[in-house]
Amino acid sequence: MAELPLPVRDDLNRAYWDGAQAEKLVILRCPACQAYTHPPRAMCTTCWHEELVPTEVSGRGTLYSWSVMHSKGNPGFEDRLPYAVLIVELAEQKDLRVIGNLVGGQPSDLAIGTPMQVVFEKVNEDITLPQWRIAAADGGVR
Amino acid sequence: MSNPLRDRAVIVGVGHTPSSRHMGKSPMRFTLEACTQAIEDAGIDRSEIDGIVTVGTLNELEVLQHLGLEGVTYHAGPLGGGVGGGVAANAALAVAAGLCDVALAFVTMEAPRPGITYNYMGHNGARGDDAFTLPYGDGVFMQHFAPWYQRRRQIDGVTDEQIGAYVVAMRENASRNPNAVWREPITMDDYLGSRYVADPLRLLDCDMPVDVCGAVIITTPERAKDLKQKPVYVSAMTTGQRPRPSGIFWHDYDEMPYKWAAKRLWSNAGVGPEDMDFAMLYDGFSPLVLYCLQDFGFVPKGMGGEFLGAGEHLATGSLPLNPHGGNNSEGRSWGFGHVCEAVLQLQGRAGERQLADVHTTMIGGGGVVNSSALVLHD
Ligand SMILES: [Zn+2]
Repeated sequence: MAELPLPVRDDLNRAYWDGAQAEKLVILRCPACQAYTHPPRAMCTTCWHEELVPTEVSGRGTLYSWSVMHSKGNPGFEDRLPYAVLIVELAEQKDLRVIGNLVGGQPSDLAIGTPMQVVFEKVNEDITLPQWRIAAADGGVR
Repeated sequence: MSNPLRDRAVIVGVGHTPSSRHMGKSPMRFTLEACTQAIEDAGIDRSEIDGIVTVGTLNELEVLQHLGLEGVTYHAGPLGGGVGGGVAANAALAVAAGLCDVALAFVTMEAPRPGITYNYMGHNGARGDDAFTLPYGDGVFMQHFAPWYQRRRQIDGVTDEQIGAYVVAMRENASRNPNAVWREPITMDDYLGSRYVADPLRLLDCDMPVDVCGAVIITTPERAKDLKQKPVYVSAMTTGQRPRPSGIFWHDYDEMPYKWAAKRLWSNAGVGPEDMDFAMLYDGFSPLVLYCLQDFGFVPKGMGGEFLGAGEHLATGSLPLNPHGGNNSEGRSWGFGHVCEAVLQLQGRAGERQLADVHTTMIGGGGVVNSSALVLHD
């Protein structure tokens, strides 16, 4: 079975993956205009400020859309078919979105706007992946 | 004031190989077949070709050598970075702007060979934006469109039957197209029984990767006067883009960059969507036509599904779509089959799939993050 491609840290994404390793969801934020940017970019796309600050966010969001993969083609996922890929809009900002897989629950439970909560999946000593669960109405995880 | 580029380029020749799962010859060989066919169809001497526009893996300088051309004054890729319509659009732009007089525009596609994971975008590893998708098994191109289609279903109420009506019609159209890879008609049940590849996308929503080449010759209206075919005028060519590099991290799944290709299309052409006798809409994934329909202004936002469900896309409908069967059933040409078919229809040379009394059409679409469009008339 082909190996799962794991993120390669670089200057832009290091804070994100280091944060995930510490079970925190960390997004680059502009200290000048407060805008968040993800995936990481080299400067603030709103005001061109060049020193973005890694900032821990709430880990809450809502489902923007999703698909359920039934086909081979992604290394490391041959034995996991079918699986859902989620696009989650973070609570902090409209259009601020991350990708993840569904942990617990079924794709049939999903709808646009479903409240989601980050959880952390440790892959190895270097990499922990932020993933997503459906959040309960009381803010907890079901 | 009329746009200065309007009707300053004409398409005068078409070449098109069959779409085949395996042509049994090299891409260069079948590319040359389509290119020489287009040149002969136009009835122009190869020595007059001074422009070349293409996209893909084939080295076009090698094509120039094979064709025995001295050189060109215009050499470029597609307008808008993406698909076949953009190749024709850029060649037309160059001719209209006086950068060359006779352009050869072509697209060659090669069916995947064993050992290649088709459409996997992660061969450079989980770097850059791919670091945020590949570890989640989100590296195959169709996965970057499937969640867009999901929103059309969830928000607009688009149904399997509405998209199925499109796909069934494309098969029906392709049964009258000798170059099509899928020529056997299918039923709605066949569509509904088609397996999911990336739910909600089904196998029959995806165009079949094939060996194919399409080519056209574009020149000035003056030069076209003593050529063999009736010239097809290009009255506008546009592209549009928005500031996001990937479909999956796109900021608004409810509007494609098509909307931005449409911004100047109609005013530059001097006509509107209501003037089109038929339309050639990009359908590498069949639900892309939902975005073509709404973003180019054929239907109000969110109404593409109802348009298809009502059969408006059929030859008998208000706006026949893709009479050659689209990429969906003709085979994956990145939309260049749309270009060839638009020209043949306007010249009255589309054989048993010829639409009656058609004079004006448009070609529009792109591969999720890119776009191009043209308006053509006879
Ligand atoms: Zn800023």
